[in-house]
Amino acid sequence: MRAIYLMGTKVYLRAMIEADKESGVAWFNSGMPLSGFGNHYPINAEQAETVLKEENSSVFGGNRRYAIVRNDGDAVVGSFLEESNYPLIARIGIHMAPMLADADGLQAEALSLVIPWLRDERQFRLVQIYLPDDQRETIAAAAKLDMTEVVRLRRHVARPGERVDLVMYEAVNPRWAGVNA
Amino acid sequence: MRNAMMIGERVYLRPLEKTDAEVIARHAHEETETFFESGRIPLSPIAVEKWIEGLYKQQPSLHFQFAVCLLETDEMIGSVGLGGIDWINRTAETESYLDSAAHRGKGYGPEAKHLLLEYAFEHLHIEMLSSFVWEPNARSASAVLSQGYRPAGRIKSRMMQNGEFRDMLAFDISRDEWLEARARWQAARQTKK
Repeated sequence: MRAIYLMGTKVYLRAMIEADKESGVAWFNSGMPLSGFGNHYPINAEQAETVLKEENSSVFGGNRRYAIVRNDGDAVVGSFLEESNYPLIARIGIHMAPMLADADGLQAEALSLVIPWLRDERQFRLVQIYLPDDQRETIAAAAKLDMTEVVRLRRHVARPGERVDLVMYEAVNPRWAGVNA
Repeated sequence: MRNAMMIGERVYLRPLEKTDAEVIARHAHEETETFFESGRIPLSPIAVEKWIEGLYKQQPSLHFQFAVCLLETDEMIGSVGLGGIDWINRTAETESYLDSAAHRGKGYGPEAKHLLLEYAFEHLHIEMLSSFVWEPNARSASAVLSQGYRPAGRIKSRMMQNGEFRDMLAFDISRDEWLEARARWQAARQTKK
């Protein structure tokens, strides 16, 4: 199952499915989209199944998690969380699996799939995401998508031996210009 | 005092109890200000009780909320809290509500906030805190600046006032910045006495 409109060269996005309970560590993050950057907690299949059922208890609603899946081999490598109040704001968060050497690159591509979909197709007024300041490839992707830095929270993310800033990037839908006038 | 966690000169902080729901709901019905991000809403004590119950269910908790009580009478006059607690990155977002309009402007709010910041930095060993204030709420924006927070930017929001979208203002604070601000606040209080 692949969303044909959310497919890249390295990853694609799809809705969560029951089999994802076996890879909870790859997609689970209780803090997103506002916190929990880089956090990985142990979550077993039983608990992951409970989370999946809770999060998918309704077809409607503004909070949805999607799996980020590698094209080659169909392994779940992360998740993308949409927390939205349609059509005004979509706040998103991206969580990547632990021990991935190419996490930043995969995340950058996932962001490049998601922003045009939310801003240009679903026409949200604003799309916002927090990114740790050392995720260079994803930040470059955000700039390419015309996202701009709006908030910089100093030293908000812990890294081995140092702390880095957490930066909010915002995509503004130009179609909404004038609505506020 | 009842179940106190942080004690100041005039107020103390204790964990919210389900029985506080009635007080919070009553304060919401008696609100005098209109500049809060969700506006004035008469809250049901049933819903507030459910919210309080939920605060203690998640382990590890990502949200601590404390009742702000007067030392002299035990009366609850508001609440302060830490939301979005990130136990690995050691960050959280602060929030404070001096719900009782009759107790505003008397210095209880800053005292409660300093107790909360002391709890966050000295007991939980949080590294950085953030706070978000809806732009029309100038009183809160001014308060967080005087408590030592630094401006961190502004976010477009979904909230409107008088037909216009208004921004959320972002602030952050480190332990050292808070210690400096608390020393200034304590010195000013001594001068007043």
